[in-house]
Amino acid sequence: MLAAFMERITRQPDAEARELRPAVLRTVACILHVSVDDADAQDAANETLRRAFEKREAAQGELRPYVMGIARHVALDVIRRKKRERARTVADSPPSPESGSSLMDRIADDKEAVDSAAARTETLRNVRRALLSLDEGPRRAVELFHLEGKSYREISATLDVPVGTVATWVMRGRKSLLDAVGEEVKP
Amino acid sequence: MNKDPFDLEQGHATDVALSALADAQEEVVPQLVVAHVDSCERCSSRMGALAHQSVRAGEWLQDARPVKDIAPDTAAMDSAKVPWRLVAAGLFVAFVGSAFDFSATGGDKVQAVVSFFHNAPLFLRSLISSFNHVAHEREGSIAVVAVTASLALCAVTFVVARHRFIPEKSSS
Repeated sequence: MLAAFMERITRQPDAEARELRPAVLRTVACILHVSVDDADAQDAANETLRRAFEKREAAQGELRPYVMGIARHVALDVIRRKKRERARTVADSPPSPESGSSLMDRIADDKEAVDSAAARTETLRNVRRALLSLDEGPRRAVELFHLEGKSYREISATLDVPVGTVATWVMRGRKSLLDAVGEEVKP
Repeated sequence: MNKDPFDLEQGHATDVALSALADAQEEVVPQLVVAHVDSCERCSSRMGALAHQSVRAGEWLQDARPVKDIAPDTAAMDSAKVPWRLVAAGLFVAFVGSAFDFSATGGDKVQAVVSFFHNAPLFLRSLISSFNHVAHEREGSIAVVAVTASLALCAVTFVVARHRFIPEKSSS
């Protein structure tokens, strides 16, 4: 049945359907900021098509928008999963005593750790300062979304402002925070 | 007239709309905009960048979360202040211990209670006279030293308890 679905995508007379897998691949690669040959892009494209097949009954109307929406969700999930994995790797990897490094090397590593800890402390201080410098509305919107996990609609109801205002506040507030730590969004 | 922040601008999605999609808030973005993003490489790429920004900002905010947000309720701690009841109970026990000599009554509970009410006023009078003795004669006495030590212990306990129950002021 999966083969039939894939055939529908790749061998339909409709050119759009035939080009759907490459389009999915390009979309996830764009979102992930990797090349189409990247393993993550390939896996995300395959996962997209798998999910599209499993929920094929929901594909009312045109196939492309339905599949592209899934591709977007899959790519965003990959971004969040990689961030979590990266954070877990940093937290779970203490320096190994069997690494073969000398005592002096380990002392030097400790100095680097102290330096990076000091830099991180300063960064966190900048983040707090940037958050406090926001107006109350944007600050509350950012806190409710990132710290309490509320949706835009819930924040809109809580703060009694339109959803568009919430979206604007969250986007600008987040940008201010990242500007404070010197992180820029690549275009 | 306020412009809808989700509307397309120059044929492309705004950062507000892309940021909402990156935050998985698709339900607030017009379907027309969603369809455009799904078919536009430029908007998809920008959305991916904003998704990275969203995740990063969330991490920084979690790490920078002030301790007071997850600390015990400081308002409740403020009201606790000094444990006066504990201090009073401790003083009472000490007072009872100094005035109530059970063994001296040969194990007779009734006699022991009677001796307590007999000794307690004597203890207070001896306490007052001891301090008067020091004030006028300037000579130390064992009773005064013992009482002074007890009072000093109570004072230290008071200071420690007060510092323990008052929250530290925020430095920010």
